[in-house]
Amino acid sequence: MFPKLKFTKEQILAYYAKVTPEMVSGSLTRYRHGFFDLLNLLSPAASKEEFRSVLREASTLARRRYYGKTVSIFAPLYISNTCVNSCRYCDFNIHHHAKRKTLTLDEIGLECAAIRKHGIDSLLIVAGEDPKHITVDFLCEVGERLKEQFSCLSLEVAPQSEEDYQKLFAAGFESLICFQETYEQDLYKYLHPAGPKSVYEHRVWTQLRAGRAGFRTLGVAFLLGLAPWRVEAASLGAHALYLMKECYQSRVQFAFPRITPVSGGFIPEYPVSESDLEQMMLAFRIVFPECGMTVSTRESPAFRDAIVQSAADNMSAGSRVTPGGYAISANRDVSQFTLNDSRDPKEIYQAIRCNHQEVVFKNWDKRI
Amino acid sequence: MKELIIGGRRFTNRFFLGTGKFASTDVFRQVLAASETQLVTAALTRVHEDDAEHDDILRVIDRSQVEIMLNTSGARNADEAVRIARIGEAAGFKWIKLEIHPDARYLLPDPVETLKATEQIAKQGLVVLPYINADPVLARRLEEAGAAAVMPLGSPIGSNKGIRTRDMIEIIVEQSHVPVIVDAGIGLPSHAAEAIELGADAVLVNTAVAAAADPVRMAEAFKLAVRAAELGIQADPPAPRSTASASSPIDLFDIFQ
Repeated sequence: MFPKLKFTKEQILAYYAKVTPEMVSGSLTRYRHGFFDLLNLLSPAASKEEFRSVLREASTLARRRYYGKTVSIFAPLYISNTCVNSCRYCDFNIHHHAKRKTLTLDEIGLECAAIRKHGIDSLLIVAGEDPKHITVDFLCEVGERLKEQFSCLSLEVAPQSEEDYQKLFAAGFESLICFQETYEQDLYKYLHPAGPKSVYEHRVWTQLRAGRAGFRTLGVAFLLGLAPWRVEAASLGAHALYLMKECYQSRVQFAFPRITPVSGGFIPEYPVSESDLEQMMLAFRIVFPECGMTVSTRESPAFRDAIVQSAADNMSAGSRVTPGGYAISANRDVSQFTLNDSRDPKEIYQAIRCNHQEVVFKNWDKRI
Repeated sequence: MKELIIGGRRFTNRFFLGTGKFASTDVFRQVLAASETQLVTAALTRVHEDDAEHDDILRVIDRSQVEIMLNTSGARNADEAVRIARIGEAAGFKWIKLEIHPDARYLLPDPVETLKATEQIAKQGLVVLPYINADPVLARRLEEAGAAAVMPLGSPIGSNKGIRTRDMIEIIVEQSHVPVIVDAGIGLPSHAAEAIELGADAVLVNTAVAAAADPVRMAEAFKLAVRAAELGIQADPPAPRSTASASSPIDLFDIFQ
């Protein structure tokens, strides 16, 4: 469980089992929601067919009230797939023999030009953990170069110290996402047997360090499929509440990445169905209406188009998950996971507009 | 009611509009027409001044009819807000709606930073309208610092809860020498009318219109409600009305060790 939460996994499971339809209804009608409302809405009782349309309606309203009829768009840019970690579920795994690549600053420039062509103004820089090549100095150089081109720069790289986050913030990064993968400490140790990532404590306080260093957006998530999702989701909710209390100037953002097939052949022990995923996203939107929520490209076009109306407020468009994938064409290189939404940005913008929503590219101004 | 003049400009419509959260520029164009508003606010963080590719909401505004005030939303301190005002001025915007909300959850305004920024922006010769909590003393300080109007909140931004700061707004209206515009929290046309009945000079609405199922009709409803309240005051009602409001309890458990 999330380390600060005072409940055990068994207590959380026992609570879920006791949730009644009346408790679900009660949580739906409350104006402000707490931790137990989240559990009520995530519970098996709330997964009953009769609740689905009510959940969708409440979530859609909450989403509309905070985000209006807009969908923010970003693109991920994989700058490297070298990695010293040995996560059992990831194709960037050090033991997975595949061609690796770290982009040079000039190559990053080429990739960005290809991304900018689609009007995209928010960029997520992604890299594996590689202390030799992906250093803080290198990332700062990347930030300094790209902040002139993009109004929002986010990071999805290995956890850093608070001091390094201050440097990265000064270099232009203002948003961060770090998947905890699992909040279960024993499982975490099993899945990350070696490498710097094997230290659970260092990873779980990543957002706290970034928040203290001034980061405006703190992304939290677990990898769906590693452990029973309802237990993980309780930890995720607690993590968010904790960050909201400790870093009140930052905004918490959720992502819900489901494990998709990787060439390494990892089979998730606790697969999460699309219906489970929807319930989880609706529940989080109702309880955390002001938080950001991203829908992954791992999901199908139909699911993504629906969920950006009912829960998520931002999505990526035209994602490539291989370094060099936008402009340099490196098809044979290893990608991190399988995409299910392969539409190009124009098709995605079109789908959003067909649903009477506005595509928002810019939410910040780089000159500020 | 006293004629409404802000920054040397006269307004005959007391309904001002925010430009965020609309589904499209086309919807906004229709809302603009239905509202007949003479003042809108837009975020610098959403202005694409050098990019014709984007569907820019500001492009549909006839600036001879409608004043645009740039807002500083996203700014967390005075320095950021002053920078936004400078960038806005360079882009030709003379009106600044100053909002500084470091609190990401409720977007409540920071009074200390707001006062600092108001002093600096007013000194630059810009028309500055600070968004504040309904704090009468702060409203006075801002007036002294050069604010062209004050914009106390009715309830937190986007909450649609209406005028929950009623008593404080009454005091601000009583004491203020500059126009009072109730901003934030107005969810229904009746809330807007209530603000005008309390003595506010104008209201600013965004979410309630933009997030309505039919924004165009809602814009018209607000225009009519504001006008109705104004006419009602001019007609000199026999007695003040009173309303009661109930607040719901909040149950937040301490879930942390």
